[in-house]
Amino acid sequence: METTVFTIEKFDIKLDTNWIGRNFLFIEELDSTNSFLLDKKNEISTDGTVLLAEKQNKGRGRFDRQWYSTKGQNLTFSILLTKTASFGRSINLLNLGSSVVVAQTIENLFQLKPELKWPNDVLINGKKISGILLESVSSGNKMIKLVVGIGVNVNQTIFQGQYNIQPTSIKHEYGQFIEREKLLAELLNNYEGMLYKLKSDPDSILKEWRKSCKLIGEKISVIQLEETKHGIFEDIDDEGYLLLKSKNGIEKISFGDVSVY
Amino acid sequence: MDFNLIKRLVKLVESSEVTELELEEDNNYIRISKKVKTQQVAYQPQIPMLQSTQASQQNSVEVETKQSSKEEAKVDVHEVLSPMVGTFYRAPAPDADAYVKVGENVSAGSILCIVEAMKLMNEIESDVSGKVVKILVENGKPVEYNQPLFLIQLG
Repeated sequence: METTVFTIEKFDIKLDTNWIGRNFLFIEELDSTNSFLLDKKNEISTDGTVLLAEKQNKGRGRFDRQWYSTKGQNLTFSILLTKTASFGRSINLLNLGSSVVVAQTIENLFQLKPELKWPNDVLINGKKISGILLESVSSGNKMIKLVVGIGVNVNQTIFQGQYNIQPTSIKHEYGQFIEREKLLAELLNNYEGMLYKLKSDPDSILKEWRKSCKLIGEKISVIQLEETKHGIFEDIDDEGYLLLKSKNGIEKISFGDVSVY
Repeated sequence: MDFNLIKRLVKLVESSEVTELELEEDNNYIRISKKVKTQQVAYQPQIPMLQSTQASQQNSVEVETKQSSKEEAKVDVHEVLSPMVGTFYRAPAPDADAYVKVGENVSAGSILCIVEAMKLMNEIESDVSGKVVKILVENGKPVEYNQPLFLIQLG
């Protein structure tokens, strides 16, 4: 299988942002890019810092579920945001916006049709191509920093092991080797654009998310900690919560794993 | 304290978005708190009026007055508030140990819990040092913005 070395110069020339990724860190191997940026010992505080790793030993998703990625083939990176107060209530839409960026970037560059699964998984033909995990640290009720961890399956075509959702990659769907440097630069260019929109026109993020979600109107189940809820995926509300319609009326869902029922 | 003043303050709290008001004046102490239970109300979007009436009926206002004294002021209990609307978790994963238990000492910067809003996992650190005297929310339950989560006795 083809692995490549990530060339920072190739990436840098395509990066067209004001602050996202301008402070760029590349670490060959670490536990998790999110944890590294959040760890106080590392003293990373520049807003918009991007950390890319070739190998994460403890890459993870929600509740410490593991994220596997083969070295030299994919993108696993995190974006650090320290001025989260400026987003106000729209901070709740950041995860939806992050998945919209990944889906649109893949669509624009490779003419593929990614679909979104609430709240922020990106799928192609029902298989997972990207996972996103947002983590933040607050001191009491003040948010200090937030990291957006994004994993994209790029050139990996063999996936061994058991998965909650079967994985796929851009190469697998597109049929050609992908230049990761260009893809990452484009993801960050679009990410910064999304952050501007989040401040000026948060509704546009909701609209774009809805457009790429094929589950609205479908029968779904939502697996939560101790129960599974069933109903129709009615819509998302203005804060991005899933509205589940069942015989008991409409319920606002703030967390859980969604699947077609 | 003047009864009419208390009445006016209660009205003020009731009609505003403030959920708690504390006032100390000439050795008199008054604390007015409002319980707002609007979270997770299954509602009918066709009749939004009904939802808001139900919500306001569920608000109750508690008034607590007492003579304050020097000793009481010293036993200071700090409330750690939620920075966002979400779901409260006491541990990093369902089968992991809780970050803190009642009776444990924490220092400023110790992780107390996670509040999750749609896959944004927000670790909440204590903003003070002291002893955890009460955990106010059950694991997996919804919390509101600025809802008290922990009581920490300073020291």
